[in-house]
Amino acid sequence: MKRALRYLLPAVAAVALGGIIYIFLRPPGYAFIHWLDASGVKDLTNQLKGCSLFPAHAVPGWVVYSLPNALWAFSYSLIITGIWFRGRSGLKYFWLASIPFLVTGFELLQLTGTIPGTFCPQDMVLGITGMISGFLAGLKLTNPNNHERSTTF
Amino acid sequence: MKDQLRFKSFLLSFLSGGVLLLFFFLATGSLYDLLSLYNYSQTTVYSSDDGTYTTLTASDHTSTETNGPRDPQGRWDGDVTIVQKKKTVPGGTWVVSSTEHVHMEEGMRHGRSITTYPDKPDKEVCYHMGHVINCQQKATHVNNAGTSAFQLLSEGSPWFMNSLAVYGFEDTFVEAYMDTLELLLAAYEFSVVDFSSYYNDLLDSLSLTRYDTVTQANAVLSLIQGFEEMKNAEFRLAVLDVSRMEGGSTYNHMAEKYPGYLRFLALLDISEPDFDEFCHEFDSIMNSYGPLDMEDPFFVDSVDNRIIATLDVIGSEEEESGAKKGAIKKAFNSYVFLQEAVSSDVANAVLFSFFEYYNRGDLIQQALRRAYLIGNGVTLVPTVTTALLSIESATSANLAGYIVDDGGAAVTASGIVWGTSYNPSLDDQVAADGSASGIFSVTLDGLTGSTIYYARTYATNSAGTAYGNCISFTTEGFVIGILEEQQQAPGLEIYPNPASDFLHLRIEWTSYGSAELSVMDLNGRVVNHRALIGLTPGKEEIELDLSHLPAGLYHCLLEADNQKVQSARFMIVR
Repeated sequence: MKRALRYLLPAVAAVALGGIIYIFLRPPGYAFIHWLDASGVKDLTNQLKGCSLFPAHAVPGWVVYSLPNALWAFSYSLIITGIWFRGRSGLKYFWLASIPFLVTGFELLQLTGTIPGTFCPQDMVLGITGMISGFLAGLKLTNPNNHERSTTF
Repeated sequence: MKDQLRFKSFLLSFLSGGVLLLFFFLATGSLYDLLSLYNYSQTTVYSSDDGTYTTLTASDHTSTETNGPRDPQGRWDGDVTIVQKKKTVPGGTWVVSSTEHVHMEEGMRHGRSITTYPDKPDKEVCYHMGHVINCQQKATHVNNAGTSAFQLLSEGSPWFMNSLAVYGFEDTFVEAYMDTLELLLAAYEFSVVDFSSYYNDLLDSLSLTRYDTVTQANAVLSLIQGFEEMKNAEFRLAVLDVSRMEGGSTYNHMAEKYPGYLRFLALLDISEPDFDEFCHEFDSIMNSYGPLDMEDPFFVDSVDNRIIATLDVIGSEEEESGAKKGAIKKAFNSYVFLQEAVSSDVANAVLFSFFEYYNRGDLIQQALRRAYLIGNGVTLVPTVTTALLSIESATSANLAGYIVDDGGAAVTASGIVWGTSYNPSLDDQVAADGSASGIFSVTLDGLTGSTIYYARTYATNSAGTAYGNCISFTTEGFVIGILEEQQQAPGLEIYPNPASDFLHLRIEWTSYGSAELSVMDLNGRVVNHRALIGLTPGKEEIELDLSHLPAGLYHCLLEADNQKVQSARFMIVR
């Protein structure tokens, strides 16, 4: 459990940071914010938006639009690597392969025109960076040589 | 041991599946609205039961349902209900955001509007031909100095705030957006002519910021509203008139009824022979699409589609010749581009005239521009509106003028200008007995019976003279056909007008044959139809029973074999 916390905490922090960017810097009209509203925290998110100290137009676009996905890619990659990389089950290859599929899938499907939307190289670069960072962090944080010995399965 | 390993793998896979779903949820949450929020479709259905139209404009998350009657030009006209709905959760059920009941005339709100909301008190607003007025019709804005663009927008077009709200933009956010636009605009050197270019720069600078979705939502709303505004374009109105005739010429009709349009083209270096040639080609292409059924409730929409298709054809020809590459298609995307593109090219000039109206659909830009000018100490011309009160007799009519805003300087003269051509000016007949502010009524005397008149309010201050919307009315009695050129058509005289239970039609036939007589209400619905056969040259009198029809304005249409169409408008009073 202690080992799991080592990668779960930064993963949760990354998700939270992405959410904060959404709440503070993204305009209304995004589903994530609709979902927050629908979950009954509309007033709270509105208050948080009102407290924002950042002049929204002064924040670089990549922070507002690409960083949240990169942080979530980092988080997903970290959790999946943390759970599976040291494992012995053959399923680990399936789950580790899901990381690049999920992270790049949306952008590539947009590039091929399979789903609507515009392919954005910036999203792709930041997403891959987040994915690799998450993978490396997962390796580091779950390395048994650096920490106490842990059981494997 | 193996079983234990399998069980652990299963548990961890289950856990990983949950994590995968969570991240899929987050990823789609960030994409979902970008993919579909600003894609919208518009459909219109006609109800033969009550003669009303319902237009549904919808994206995956928002919908606007407008229901009501339309006038012969396809504009909302009558008691209209506008329901805004949204989906708070993708795939969820529609939730009503607001419901507005309002009377509209010529596509503009006119009268009391009541909007109900599910989560806040009802809102009552009074309009006079599209402009917000005090419900007691007393006050008028004297000076807007210090007024922000947001105030101008929210107070001048409160219905637009409902449209933005359905996209998830609350008033406070729109205010922050418009304040930011004003702040950024202040950094530019003041220039009236460069405003449009500044505005486009501002929108570019705010892309990829938290304000870009409101910009996108406004682009969609501007498109929808812009097309409504374009319904008042003179060229379109003329083509609609001509489409109701057989063999009419757009150029002749423009010269006859819309001489101001030819003067406008002259300002763009378009000569009358060039425009005549353009109209000839335009008419040829329009006619090549085949005849239209005027009783079809979508007659106006069909004409609109043909106008767009025809302009596209002409534009494509010019594009191929390299005259104005892609100007027509790009025109709807860039006002600035079109301003630069206009030269002696007639098709582009016609499109430019359309775009003048279309551009009025961007209400945020309009409010920002007004605030920009006021904030820089520019005195504006007054804002005025015109409405028809009553037709008193064959020689007299009552009209209402309203000075909505004096533009920041005292109004020194106001009244009604009128004449037999569209958009009359001070060069035509003038009834100069208006007021300096608020609403006033003017009686036009000395009119000729059986004539279509046009009138609009004017007001003058130190910045110049402004004109309001142009209204048309027909004086009592005999109404000639739409065009003077229809000399060969059978003569149609109707009386009394207004009628009550019976209407008499005196028709003078010029040849043998048959004809069909139709009476249509303002919704285009045929309420009375009669086949006339075995006609011989000479006068014939027909009596129509109107006792089953409700009070209102009607259109009488005579179609004769091998002869042109005659029409007349009459009113039923009860």
